[in-house]
Amino acid sequence: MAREETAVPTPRRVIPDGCNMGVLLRVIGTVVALAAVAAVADSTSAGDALKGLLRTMSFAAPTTLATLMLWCAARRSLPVLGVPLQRLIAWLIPAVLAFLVALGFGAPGGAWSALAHFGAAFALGAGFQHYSELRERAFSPAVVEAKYQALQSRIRPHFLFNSLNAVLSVIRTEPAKAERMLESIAELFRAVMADTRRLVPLEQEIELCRNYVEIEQTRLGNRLAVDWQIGAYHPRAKVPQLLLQPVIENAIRYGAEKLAGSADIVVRVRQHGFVLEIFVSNPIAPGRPEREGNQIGLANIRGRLALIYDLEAKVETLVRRDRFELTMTLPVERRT
Amino acid sequence: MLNVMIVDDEPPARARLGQVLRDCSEQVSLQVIGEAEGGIRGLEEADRLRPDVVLLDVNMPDMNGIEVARHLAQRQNPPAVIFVTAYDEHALEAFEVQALDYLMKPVRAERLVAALARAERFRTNEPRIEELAKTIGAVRSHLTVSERGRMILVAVEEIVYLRAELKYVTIKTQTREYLTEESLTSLEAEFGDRFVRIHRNALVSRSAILGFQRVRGSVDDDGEASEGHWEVLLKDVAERLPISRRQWPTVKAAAKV
Repeated sequence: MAREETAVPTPRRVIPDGCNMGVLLRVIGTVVALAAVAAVADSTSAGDALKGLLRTMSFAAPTTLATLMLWCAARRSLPVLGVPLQRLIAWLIPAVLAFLVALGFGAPGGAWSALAHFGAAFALGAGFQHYSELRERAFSPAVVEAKYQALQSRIRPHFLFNSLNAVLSVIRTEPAKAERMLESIAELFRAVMADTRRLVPLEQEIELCRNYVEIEQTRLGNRLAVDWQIGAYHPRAKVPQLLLQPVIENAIRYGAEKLAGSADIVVRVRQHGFVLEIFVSNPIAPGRPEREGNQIGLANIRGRLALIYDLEAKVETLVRRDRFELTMTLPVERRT
Repeated sequence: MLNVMIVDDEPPARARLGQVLRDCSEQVSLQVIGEAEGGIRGLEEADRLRPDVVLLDVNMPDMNGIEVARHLAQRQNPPAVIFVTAYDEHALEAFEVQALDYLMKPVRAERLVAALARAERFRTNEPRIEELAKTIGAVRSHLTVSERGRMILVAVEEIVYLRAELKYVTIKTQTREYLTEESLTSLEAEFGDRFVRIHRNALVSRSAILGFQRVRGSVDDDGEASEGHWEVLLKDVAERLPISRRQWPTVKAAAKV
């Protein structure tokens, strides 16, 4: 599977990327700010503070720039080393440089001063390396990918086994129907296994849902009726794959499956301007709303929409007269 | 000849079990004597048809298979029960522990034959099925009440109060009263969410509580003084039940929720 290829571990690089503009600016900013604070704390007048800052920067600047260059080079050539060793090297680079610069510039205090510089630079370097490592981890593609993976739709085992059972029940009496059902199940699986960030034509998603409902209708018999109200939408409108199916699945799960009588589910799709509105409503058992499970499914749909559309998509729910209503609005993608 | 009954809410699932049972009939002498499309209907049919074996779906909307089995186990000479499930969230392990037989959908003919052969040995008995229900925290939707040899189901939703008498517990609904041999303590343990104890001998449905009334203390003709106490007013039932002083804070708190 393609997904497994990306899972091949690349050696982790934990030395900050000194050539990256963001890292460069953050490091220089931090050093200047610290030097300024030290200079002000140590001063008696504004001129005194400025002089102090310049004096500190005269050796802090070359140390910092050299550190960034060495980090940049080490990051590219050393990832073969273990992570702890990489960290140690990242901490030692500024410390050793500061030590050498302090000795070379003949800082007052001699060897003691050089050691103090070593210690301070070591602490600063370690602090920044740690921050940078955490930051990279938070924004790494693997983490974002994992978030999508967690939100990816899954086939409920209950649905899978029951629908396979339903196929088996008609295989002898209605082979053609069994064939159609297996085709629909295969299509559903294809969609579930694909990346759900993929945009597909709205028409295709609706077709998938109709096939899905057909399987459920075979299973639940006359306990499930779906009223499709598909209005006009742009012929090239695209939506994230499996946008509508989980909503309908929820409606069936908490409507038809849990109700002894028959359940009518309404699915309405229409477009206003650049906004697509999807509305699904299902009956719920009076008195004992099984809201909890429903909310888990909903949180998943909300999470996916937020990752794809940020604030442009909205999901609203309402319980009214023993019916659960969901309205989802999202911008229509019209990429060709 | 084994008389088999199928209880499942999904028509294709019943049809499929019927087919597989027919396939099995060459190896095991059996006949399908009935089908039911829900738990409550299944119980009625089982009482009418008296099958030897019931193939019982676990997930059904009106009454789940485990509860059906609990009610069946209270019958005299209960049928053997084989649970059938598509995928059961947490009950499977409990089935194993209690040595209750189960099959996974889609059901294979060989497995079904083996299960039917074992049916006698695995005959569901009350302690085992009760133990199972306790393990998975199952709460019944109905109580079984025996009345002149007939088994009647009383929906727990309709119960107004449960009151312990000398030997039995009275079940009071809006329309009538029943007696059960179950203890008030075990009923409280199972339905504690729905009922609140108002007295050493009574549980009242939270949703049936209309309000409370204070009864003044009095001195009767013989000079016996009685202390004042609270009584609970009930929806659609004129009768008032006394609240013990010990339970009053609990009842008051429960009514506020």
